[in-house]
Amino acid sequence: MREVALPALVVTAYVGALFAIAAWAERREARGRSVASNRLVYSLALGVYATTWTFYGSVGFAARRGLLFLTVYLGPTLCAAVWWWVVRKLVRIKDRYQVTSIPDVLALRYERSQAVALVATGLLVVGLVPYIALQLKTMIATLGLVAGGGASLAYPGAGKRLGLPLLAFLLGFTIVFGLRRARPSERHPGLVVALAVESVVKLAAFLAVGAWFVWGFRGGLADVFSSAPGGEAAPAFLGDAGVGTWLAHLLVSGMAALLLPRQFHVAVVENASEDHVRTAMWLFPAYLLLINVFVLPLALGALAAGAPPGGADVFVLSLPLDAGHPALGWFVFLGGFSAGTGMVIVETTALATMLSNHVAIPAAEAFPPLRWVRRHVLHARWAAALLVLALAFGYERAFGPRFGLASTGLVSFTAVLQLAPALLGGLFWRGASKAGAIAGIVTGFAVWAYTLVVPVLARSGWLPEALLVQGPLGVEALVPEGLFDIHTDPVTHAVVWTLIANVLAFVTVSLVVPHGAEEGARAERIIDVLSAHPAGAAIEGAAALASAERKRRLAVELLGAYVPTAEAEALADACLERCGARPGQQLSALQVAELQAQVEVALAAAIGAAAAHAAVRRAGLVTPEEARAISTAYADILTALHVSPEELRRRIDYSRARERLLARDAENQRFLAGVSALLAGSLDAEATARTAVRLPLPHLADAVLLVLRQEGGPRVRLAHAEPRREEEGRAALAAPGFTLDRAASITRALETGRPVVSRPAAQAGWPAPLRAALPGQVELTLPLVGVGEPLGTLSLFGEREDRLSTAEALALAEELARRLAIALDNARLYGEAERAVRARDEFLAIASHELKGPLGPLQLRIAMLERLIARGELRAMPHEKLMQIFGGARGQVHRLASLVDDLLDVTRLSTKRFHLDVAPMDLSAAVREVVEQHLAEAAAAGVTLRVEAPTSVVGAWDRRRIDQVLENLVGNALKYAPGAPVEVRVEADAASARIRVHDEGPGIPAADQERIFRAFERACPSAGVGGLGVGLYVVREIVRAHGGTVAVESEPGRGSTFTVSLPRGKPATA
Amino acid sequence: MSLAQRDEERSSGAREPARAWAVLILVLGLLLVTWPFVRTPPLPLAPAYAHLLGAWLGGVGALAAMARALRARRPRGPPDA
Repeated sequence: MREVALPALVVTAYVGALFAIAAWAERREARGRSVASNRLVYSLALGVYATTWTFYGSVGFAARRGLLFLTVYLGPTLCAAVWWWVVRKLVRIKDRYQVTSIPDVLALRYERSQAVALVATGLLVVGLVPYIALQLKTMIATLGLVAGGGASLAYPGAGKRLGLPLLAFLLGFTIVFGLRRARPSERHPGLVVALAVESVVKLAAFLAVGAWFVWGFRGGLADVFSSAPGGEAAPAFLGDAGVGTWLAHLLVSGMAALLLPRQFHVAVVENASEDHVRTAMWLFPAYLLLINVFVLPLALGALAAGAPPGGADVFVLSLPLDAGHPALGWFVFLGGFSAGTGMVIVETTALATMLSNHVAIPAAEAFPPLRWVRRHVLHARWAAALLVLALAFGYERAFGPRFGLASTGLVSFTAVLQLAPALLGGLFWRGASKAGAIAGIVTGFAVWAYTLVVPVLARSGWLPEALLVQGPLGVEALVPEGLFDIHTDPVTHAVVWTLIANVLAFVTVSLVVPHGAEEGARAERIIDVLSAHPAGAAIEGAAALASAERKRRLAVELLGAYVPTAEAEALADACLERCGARPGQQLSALQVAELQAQVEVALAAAIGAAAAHAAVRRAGLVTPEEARAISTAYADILTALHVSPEELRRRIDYSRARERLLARDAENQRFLAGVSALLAGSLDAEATARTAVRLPLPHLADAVLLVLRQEGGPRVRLAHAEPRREEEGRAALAAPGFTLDRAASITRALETGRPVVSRPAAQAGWPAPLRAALPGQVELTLPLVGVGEPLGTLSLFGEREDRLSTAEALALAEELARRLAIALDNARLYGEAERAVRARDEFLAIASHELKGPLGPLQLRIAMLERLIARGELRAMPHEKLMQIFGGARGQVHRLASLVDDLLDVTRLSTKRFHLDVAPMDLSAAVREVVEQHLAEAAAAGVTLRVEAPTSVVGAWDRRRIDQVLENLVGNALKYAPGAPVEVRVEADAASARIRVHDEGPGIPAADQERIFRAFERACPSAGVGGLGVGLYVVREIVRAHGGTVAVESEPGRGSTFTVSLPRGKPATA
Repeated sequence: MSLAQRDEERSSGAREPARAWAVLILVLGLLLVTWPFVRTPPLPLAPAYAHLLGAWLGGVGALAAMARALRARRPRGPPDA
């Protein structure tokens, strides 16, 4: 046993890793962050098509039959062109009717016939057991080889030691991955992700061994092909076959890629979105191309190197092992092991489900002693899986050593091809009937068995070998491999005859025994599934027929026979809800009919369509009286409408669609009305933002991110339907260094002013912690466009891809964003108006105070003069004293006039009635003059006033206004920085001149630096400094009128520097 | 008519030419991959292999282009980011 210890260890470690990945995928799915619902994962999982036959057998096939191996992969590539119409239709049927396999689809289409399902299941089990046996054979052989290939481990002897443990391992793996639940219609995210990983492993392993062989072992592709064996040793171009064989193999492989149970399971049952089919239709062929690139070079190179052609099926593994590369050998072994396990698990899962649904459950229904099986659907599937694997192992032991991988695989492909006419005919031909389908499948199956299975049995000694030469009863025209004297290779021969017989029987019997009217309607629903819509709630207002409570009880009773009671109750409630029924309500005739259909669909998910149909009919969910009432209701409708049943169905569909649309519109209108009411509740910007971020939950989105632009960086708010994830998101927002500057969707929405839909929501630039807290399937970012610049963005996130990507959701989100933008704009404008009113009141107080200031001394002087006149003392008053009184009065009048001038300037500037009188002037001279005028004032304030200016800076400016600018700046510096030095500097270049006024005052906080340039605003309103607060506003407006700019640089405690830049040319007049 | 129905009709309208493309890819692909076996004299093994791989690659490209064209048109708004 020691020699198998290492392989066992490696396999266990590898499988453990796969389990861990699958468990991780299941956990992610449970948390709503699915990995499996991804187009790339879906496409890679389809790579389960590449089995050990691909991994090992293709090289053997190429060594023996040249390029013929390519048909197995070129066929699916060509057929992928029609997947959008075929696979998508099957996915839609699966979503609507909960089918779980091809027999289930056939049963659904053909009168929910258990006979059709049983025949198809039998064909698939018989046809695919050899294919599973082929995988077992390869796994046993390669395990023996990688374990050292000693005599006891050489195939087929190795099967005695390795077979049963391998079988047990595969059964466990199948149960854990695929058969853990009783509802096979539920997706298996862990299985899908594990299959995708296995696909990557086998592709990487094959490319690794191919690259090593071509460039590491041989001298490149040219060397491989130039030294390829010639003559007898060379592989035949098409293995001695003609173009007919090539075409037949293409057809059979193209069909198999869809009809093999594992392919159907991954492509249809595990499909999360119809749109993923679009990606798979090119990515899957690309995968097949890559995995085949090195097949022919490996075959030719190995033959040229003298490898025995008999061992060609394991060249891929034996070449690196024989060349002394054990690590590569182990990697290749794991690749092949992945190919084998993936195929066996999914195929066995699918076959076990079929056997359970179409054999065990119907048998339990038919034979009362077996009724207990109904309560053990899951265990029945496990037993079926064991049966399938045991049969495969038995086949492998009996026939394995005698047949190559390719021949066995193609026999199975030809078997599943027999389902193609019934399936494709059922999907696209209205005339296809149940009898035709059964006739086609049975005839094709019989011809397949005669042309492909009988020769195998004859060569194995189970039947007389003379049969292959003389034919039955000596009739040579009936020789199994040369019917009617047509001789070609066995697979092509079988494909031609089975298809002829199958299609002829299917079409002829369908025409002779057509389906009934009821099934015709069902057939139409299946065929038109891509354009039709599911039945919704029945139209209300009809007469009551039955109690919803009673029907619920019956539904629970029926469902409870197959699934646990709690699940049955939940399913029954869901069925009633889909019928538009509420607890305690009475059901109309149409609702009762709808309920029956819904229960049948729910049950089909667990036991298959045919068995579900039979069970519902038996259960008496609808009594004969109710059935009559339903018939009467439909007849009344028909009579009243004077329409045919087809027309009625169309009208009902139309009414339901219209009803749904109106209900949805009404719901949306209610939502928007609620939004408006909530937003109207406050005019505070902060409160509005707080309300707004929660509005879309849960009606429109699962999470919301509101980004509002403002000075000092954007303000971000987050809301999530799940409190825990909202906390995680908030923690991400609060993290140091958090920024959304590089979030591509936000940037794009702001730049274009249009919504941005991202699918999946993996936009570049989003901080990873925030992204992790948000739903990842779809993101819709809308700009919030108010008056002028966008106010910010509203990002909505959905767990489901279709949540935000429909036209309806987009329109609703845009309307929400529009209303939100209006509310935010209103809040902003209201805030500004409030600030303006506050500023006005403050201004009135300041202006009153400032205007009153000069009036007091003026009144005093006037009163003094009046007293002097009244007493007759005026003439006796000394002249100097009188001049002093008049001078004081003139000063106060001048001060009043100056204040009034300031106010007039503000009025002119704000009403745009402001004109410049531009003429050449010397800025340096103007600065010096203004500074000189302020020297006395500076001295009184203890300020050292210094000027640094070139001799002359000439430009075209309004001298009076420039003086005003300088007076304001220098005056402010003296007012706000008493006792500190003030420096006025003039600089110039060819294009512009700059005035810098620097003081060492208390400085201005950054938050106030924009505000002080507004009218009636002051840097320190309570610092005891007088003034109307218009100086800097006047400065800014005058400078702007000259085409210049004014800026301030300041920090509290470090003084301030005001810089005025003026172009030297002639400016525009304001 | 529901919004979903309108979407379906709009996209199915866009997909009519896609059916013609699908048939074209199928027929042209079949001709391309069959050509090495019907020409006289037959191609040697290596050139035939190269031809088939090239045709395969072209087929994958054509399928990818068709898949892209099949993407349902959005009624408004920008394309997927």
